[in-house]
Amino acid sequence: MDTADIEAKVIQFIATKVENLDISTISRASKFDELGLDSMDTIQLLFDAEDNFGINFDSEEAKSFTTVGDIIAYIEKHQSPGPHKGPDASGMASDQEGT
Amino acid sequence: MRIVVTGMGVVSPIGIGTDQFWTAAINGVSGIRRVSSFDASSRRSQVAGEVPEFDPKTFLSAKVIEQTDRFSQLALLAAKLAVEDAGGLDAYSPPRVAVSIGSGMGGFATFESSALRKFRNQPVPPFTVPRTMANSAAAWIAIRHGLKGMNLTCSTACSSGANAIGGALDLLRAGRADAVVAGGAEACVLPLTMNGFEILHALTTGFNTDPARASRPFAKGRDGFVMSEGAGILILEEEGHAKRRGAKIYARLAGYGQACDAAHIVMPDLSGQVAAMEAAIADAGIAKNAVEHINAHATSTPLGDVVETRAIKTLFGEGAKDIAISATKSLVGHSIGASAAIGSIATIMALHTGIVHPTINLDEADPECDLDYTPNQAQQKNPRAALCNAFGFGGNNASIVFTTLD
Repeated sequence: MDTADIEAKVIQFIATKVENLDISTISRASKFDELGLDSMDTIQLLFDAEDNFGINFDSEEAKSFTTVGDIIAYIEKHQSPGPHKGPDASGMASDQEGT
Repeated sequence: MRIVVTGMGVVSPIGIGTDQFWTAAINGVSGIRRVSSFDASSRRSQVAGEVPEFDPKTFLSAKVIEQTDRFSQLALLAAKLAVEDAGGLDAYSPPRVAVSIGSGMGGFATFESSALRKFRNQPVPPFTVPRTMANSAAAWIAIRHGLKGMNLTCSTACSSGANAIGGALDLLRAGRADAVVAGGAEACVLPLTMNGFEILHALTTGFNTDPARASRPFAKGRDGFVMSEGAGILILEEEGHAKRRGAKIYARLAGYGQACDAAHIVMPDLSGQVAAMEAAIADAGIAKNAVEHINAHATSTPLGDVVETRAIKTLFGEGAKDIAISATKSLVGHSIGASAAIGSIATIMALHTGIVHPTINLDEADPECDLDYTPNQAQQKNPRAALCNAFGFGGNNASIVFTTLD
């Protein structure tokens, strides 16, 4: 993925994760709290992003993320061969495997 | 102080909402089927009471669904139905409305799925703890309805729902609340949890190909309980307040008794059961022979149903034969911490409608179970005072008395 591709995919991903959010209002500069995400929502978003993009955020670094751009920059820096869409990609709500 | 029930909400394997539940109950409908939420085909016990038509998306946002375990979601629907049934709680100041919920296992669906991820070296979901914690159902009920009073969770295994309702009665009498949203919720039709009960030989194993006949309290050939899920919620308030705000009143919550066996961690004990029923009747200030109906704990285990029968005979003597007994678990299975809350709703409906629902699958009773369990057919009995029993692991025995208003 090139930089523009990653940015578009992260923004697209966030738009699917946050209710009632117009994708055109999301940019690299968007702060999580401006998007209506509280601290727990942000942790959940990063958890879902790990599954979706097949990466692992360093938890110390992730603690300092405040903007959409922070996620994009991290993926750009540590990007894996391609987007990953595993069976757990949708996170906890549908993650009742084996249950 | 007289405490009354002004709203009820139930989510059960035989129906969502009191009307659907009660119609199925008096018609002796079984809610037991083969387990659908996971592959149980290699298990010893392959049947359960699930609520397949329950869809949290019909009343919760995707965000709330992500943050809640199934047991909280079941509790939230039952609470919503109960609050609506009571005509809302706007008559009360939010700090004066308490929540008292029972759950034996709490958010075990989340615990099991997160543990599985951990063992597979996958990241643990962020809401693992807020979803699993036993008080999450009570907390979410408070959040959704803006209830700022005491918020309590009782976890006493299979008697959790009864103690949550009994505790609510105590809160109202002590003046700690003006209204209480009280009941129980459980969702542990789950591979690990069911395995845990299987290991104890507590679950039925002989009716995997005939699920509707698996839950058979007091019947010959019963071989264990059927795991089930559900939630039951009551709205409780002081009678005078309820009348002044024009609420409809289903029944009076008249008494609560509790006794611990202090003997064995899982085996039932006759004296503790007798003591709990006796204490509940004394607390209600009624005569023993006023009890005309018992919603029995009756899980369909070989030992439990005999011990409860003996306890009833010990307490009521010859009068035991005149009491109409029902086993709600014959219809819906055993929903652990929700079971006594759902049983309470069945008890209240018996007082409210005069009809005692049947104990199904009771074609031939165990010779040691020789009371009137209302076999297979509902009966018009018009009871005026009734007990709802709940006995849990930990030797925890609870009994609640409901009466009609007059």
